[in-house]
Amino acid sequence: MSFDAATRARLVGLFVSEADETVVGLRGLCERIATDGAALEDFGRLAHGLKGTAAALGFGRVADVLHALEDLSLGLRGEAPADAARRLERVRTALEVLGEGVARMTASGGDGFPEDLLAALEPLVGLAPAEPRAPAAGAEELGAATTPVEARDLRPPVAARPAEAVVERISVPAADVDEALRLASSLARTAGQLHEALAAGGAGEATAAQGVAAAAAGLEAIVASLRLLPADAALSGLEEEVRELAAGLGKRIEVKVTGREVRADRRTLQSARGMIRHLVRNSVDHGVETPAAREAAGKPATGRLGVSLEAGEATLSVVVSDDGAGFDVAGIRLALVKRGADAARIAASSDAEVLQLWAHEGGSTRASATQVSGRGLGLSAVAQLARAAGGGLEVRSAAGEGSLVTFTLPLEVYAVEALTVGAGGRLFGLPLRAVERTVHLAAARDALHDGPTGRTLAVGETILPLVPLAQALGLAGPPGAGRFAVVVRGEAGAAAFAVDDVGAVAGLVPASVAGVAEHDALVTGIGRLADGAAVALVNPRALLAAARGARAAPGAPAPASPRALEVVLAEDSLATREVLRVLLEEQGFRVRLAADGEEALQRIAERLPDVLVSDVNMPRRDGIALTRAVRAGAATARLPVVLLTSQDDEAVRRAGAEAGADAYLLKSRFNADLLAETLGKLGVVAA
Amino acid sequence: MTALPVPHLVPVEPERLEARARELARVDGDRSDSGEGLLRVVAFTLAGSPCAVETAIVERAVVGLTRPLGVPLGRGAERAVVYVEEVPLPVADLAGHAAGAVRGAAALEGSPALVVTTPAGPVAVAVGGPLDLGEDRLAATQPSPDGDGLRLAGRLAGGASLVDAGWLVAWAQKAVRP
Repeated sequence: MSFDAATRARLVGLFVSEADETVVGLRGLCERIATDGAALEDFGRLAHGLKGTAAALGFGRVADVLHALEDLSLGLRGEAPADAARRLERVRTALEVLGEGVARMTASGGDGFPEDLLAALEPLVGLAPAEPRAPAAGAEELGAATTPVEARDLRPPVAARPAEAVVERISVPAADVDEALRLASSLARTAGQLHEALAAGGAGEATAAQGVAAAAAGLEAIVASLRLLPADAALSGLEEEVRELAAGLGKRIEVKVTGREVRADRRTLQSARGMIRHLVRNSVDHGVETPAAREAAGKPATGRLGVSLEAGEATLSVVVSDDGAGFDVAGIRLALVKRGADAARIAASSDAEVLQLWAHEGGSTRASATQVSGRGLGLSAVAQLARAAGGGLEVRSAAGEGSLVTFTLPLEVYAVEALTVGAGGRLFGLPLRAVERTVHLAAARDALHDGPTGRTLAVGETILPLVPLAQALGLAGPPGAGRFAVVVRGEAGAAAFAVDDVGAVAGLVPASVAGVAEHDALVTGIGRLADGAAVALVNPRALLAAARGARAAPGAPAPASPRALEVVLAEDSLATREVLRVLLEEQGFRVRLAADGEEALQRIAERLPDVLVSDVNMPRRDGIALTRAVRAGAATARLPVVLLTSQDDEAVRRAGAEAGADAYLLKSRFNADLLAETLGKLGVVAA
Repeated sequence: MTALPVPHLVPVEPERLEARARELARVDGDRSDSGEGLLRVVAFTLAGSPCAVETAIVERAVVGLTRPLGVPLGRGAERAVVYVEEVPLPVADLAGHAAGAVRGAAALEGSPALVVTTPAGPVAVAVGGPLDLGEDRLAATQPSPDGDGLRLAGRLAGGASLVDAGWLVAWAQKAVRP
């Protein structure tokens, strides 16, 4: 595979950065493997991810080492303690050497993993030492700045650099830098003019000040855009890679890539890049059939594989599709049952539900790993990465026709045009794409109506609920003047929000704030106006859901379809958790998962859900203790809590009630309708 | 309108100033006997009482928070966010916590704060002023009670209570991400 020098340098930079983060992650998991079974699977996923990247860049021996490291770690499963301890020590040592190699690549900026460390790594992970390869164009593994060490001296001479020492690099178009320089010069010049005007006693002050403001705003915009790279960074070399992989498997595949022009931040593209390669390798290996098999099935001999990227306001969406055989859903059903999932429930689930469960649970129907896509863990690795980043993954498949995997990632840096509005004495930004219109309420008195479900506003042919924005956002304090209404439209409908003031449309580059303004929360980011005022960027989807909640009268009957209610589901059994999740999501609930009580508290702290549904018996913090903690928190004291358990145990029921649980349901009878009915009785309803 | 003249600073005792600067710049392990046991601390007040915390956990001291914004979290809850060095940070009101009345965003205007790095990211911890940077010795250690109350590591020779740095980091994190 060959790249031009600039592209290769950029990709190697991305690899080094990813490798550094991966080694740090693997080290952490390594320390948990002995006590945490899930850590072993996570270890495999993480190593698998870096292996794909190494292979894609032509670092074949590094990929081999990672493959062997994955095997080495998987050997820990079921091994006698003494043997496991020795094996674990080998894994640790290998990680140290790997980390040292990455650190050297970082320090030297070289395009190659140090040969001496590769020679040390190979026997460590059970590979025969390879003959050093001559550097080849575009795929060198011989570091130029390496220091020879004894191949048997397995310990690295110096400690690996910590992850935070890695300097983040970005590659930007020269024209953009030129434009930034021009604006900076303009800013300096107009600032000087302003200074002179001020010193001269006022003549030309306003003009000069306007010039400063314009140049500064332009400079801010261009510098913000420099953080956004074209998606090509995530797609470079993909076609060549697919061609090579397909040729090695005797397949013919045509690749179509769309969305190269999409711009996103480096970190998101870096994550997307690894995930795309996982999915593409899976498609090439397992999806698209051989020419003979395709012709026998009445398909063209050449398979098609599509990759498309699209950037929404704050999300990067990626679709990887193929016209191959589709997923082996029957095999997946068997594998899930073999792993302990309820056979009857799996049999009753649709293919889509089974695929989604499979993607999120992880695993493989394959008995052995292949060099192209490993054990088929790629899909679950991608699902996990997407979810960990705050995104999601969806799988669709049709037997004999192909498969389509869509994943989303929240963008770390993005720009948005927002309408600024005042409510409750604060300033908020509403993304302009979601704002349909603004209405001066004093001039639209005839369109206002107070009905049994609250105040409405007639806008054209439509009657919309009118909710004070401050109320929808849950702000304390008296209602404001409500002089204007802003009509906000989303996928789930529209509503009008009364605000005190409507300001200008501002270009914002919002930043997330841990625990406060995050992807998918009510406020997704904080931005700043030219005068320095902070603006909370409101999530229109969450706002519309909050408006529905604000209008629902306490004690009102539950709707037949409780859409948009958000559930935090705490359940330690992976299979049960996923089955419950699928059940709830199928009925329109939005579900966030937690593997135990501690994790559930974290999920709740990140964003208050509409209800907590929790298993009783869980590690770290059980459902009873979780309920007590929820009741003890000021912000969560009134959160509805529904406990789930396998058996109807009076003692557990009493303990739950004493802890403050609102309802108690049996898992064997649990379904989304029953939950909706229960929530309705608790006064938790959605439109 | 005329430009303001550039102020010219004249140190009265340059040798002493330089010696003091050198002493402050020295790392802990490089102290002379006279400096042994000295802790570098940021001093502040809580409920009117002098307090301090080791500088190791403090990324930045902010004399006064400017234009804090109350950000709704839904269901009536909200958290203050403030810009420090062009970066929005969540605010945890330690002074309010110590006084038994956590303040809303508007009441935090002008409050001094220490930016503390936590595993969840930097957090601006609002304290009482004035802030000061100094060195002091630990005069007495103090048993650390469990619970949500302020946890002290001991008392400094100058009389200030030394807030347990580890506790403060954990508290700040919990305050913004319970």
